[in-house]
Amino acid sequence: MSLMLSWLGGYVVLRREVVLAHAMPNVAFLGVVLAFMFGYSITFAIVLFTVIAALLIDYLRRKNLIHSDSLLEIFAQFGLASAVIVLSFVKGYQIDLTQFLFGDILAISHTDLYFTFAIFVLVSLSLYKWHHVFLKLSLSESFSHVSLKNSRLWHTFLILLVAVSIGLAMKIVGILLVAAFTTVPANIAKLFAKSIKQTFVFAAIIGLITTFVGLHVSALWDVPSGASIVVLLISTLFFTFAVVRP
Amino acid sequence: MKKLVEIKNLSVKFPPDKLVLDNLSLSINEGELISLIGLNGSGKTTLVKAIAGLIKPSKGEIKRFTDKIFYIPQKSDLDTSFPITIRELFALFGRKPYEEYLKQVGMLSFLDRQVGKLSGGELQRVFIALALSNKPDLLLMDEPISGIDVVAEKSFYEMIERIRKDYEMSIVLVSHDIHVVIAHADKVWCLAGHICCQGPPAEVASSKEFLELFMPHLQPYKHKHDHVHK
Repeated sequence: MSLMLSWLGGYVVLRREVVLAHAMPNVAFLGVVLAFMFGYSITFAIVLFTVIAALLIDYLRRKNLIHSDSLLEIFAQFGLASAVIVLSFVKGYQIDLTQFLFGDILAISHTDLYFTFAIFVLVSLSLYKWHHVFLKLSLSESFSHVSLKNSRLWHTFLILLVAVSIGLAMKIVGILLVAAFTTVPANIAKLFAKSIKQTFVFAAIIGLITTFVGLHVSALWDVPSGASIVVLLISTLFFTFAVVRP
Repeated sequence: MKKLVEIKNLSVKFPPDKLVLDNLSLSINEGELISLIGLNGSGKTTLVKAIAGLIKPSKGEIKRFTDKIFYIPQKSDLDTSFPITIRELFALFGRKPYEEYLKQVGMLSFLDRQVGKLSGGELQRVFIALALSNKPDLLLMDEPISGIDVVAEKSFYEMIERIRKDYEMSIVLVSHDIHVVIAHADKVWCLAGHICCQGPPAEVASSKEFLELFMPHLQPYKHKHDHVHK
């Protein structure tokens, strides 16, 4: 998952839409709360809510009424605030923010977990097959418009892939890790990569290595694993910045 | 002469109710070099973006008789902090052989250079090479000389004329520099939200509307200094 999110992060950082990594988990959280309330599948609710939010964001962005970053932040606030209101109607249930921040793989049923895994496989296959298309769209909207047929449809497809992946990953690893994987590895990689291809490959490798090291550190020192990975990622960013760009 | 684009009664409104282009009717023919001039906020960028299909008309229509239209924006939306090389840029948005097109604009030795390390003028040349590789019938350039110094301007316009002839394409050039732009064009569109005047350069330059629009801004230079010449 860290590999996939770090790769997706390359597009998100290029598009300057990192707030998406904050907005989608919040919207997904609203889906989780409603699914919990009405007894529906959590994974289905996350997919439904992130798809609706992504399509709405895409539509409103094209209307040019609100800047992309503000729009994403508005959805982030709406998702969280609505989820808290809905939770207040559920008697005897207290908000467990640590579950939201760090995820809870045990709270997901086996069926949901298989469904999530299937979607991640589909997303990874799409990234493998259409990386050059997504890269075009992320690099330059004006050039991709003239050199790519149906660029608007492809753009919507990319937003949906990113939104659903981020939403589903949030339930498993939490908002903190999702946001970190989507933002930090690509920003580290671009500091020393010599080409755009290298940036994506290095970002994925950085995501993978920091996950392994972070998990080991967490086990060794008995500290929370998600937070360890985030701190490790950001330390790597500052270290790289100090070494590569003095 | 074959028509490439026909604009009929085009109006573009931006929210909430700002009319940027008002009832424009224009046409672009094969092989023409058109200069689009106007003051800041006159709608030049909006018009070229609408021709490129990046902005939808609020009213009227734009008939495109070719889909080979390439648009080079005034300010590139490429994130130059990412280490994308010119070779990668061509692999994504251009066609082979990259070397031939880069040679046309004098940038052959830059193939493996990162885009973020180029100057404004070099970047414009790379974008033009990228456009050439797509063999467009119509090239739209928004303020291409904004990142170029005065000395390089002349050779830039010579290059534009050369590629227009070699590649038999039409070019619409947006610029503030009315003297230079008019000198190189076949046709001039003078814009102020609506079309003030249009036609051959000499005709436009002497028209009442053109003089009313630009003359108040063209103050002759007066040499002032606080030193004595030896």
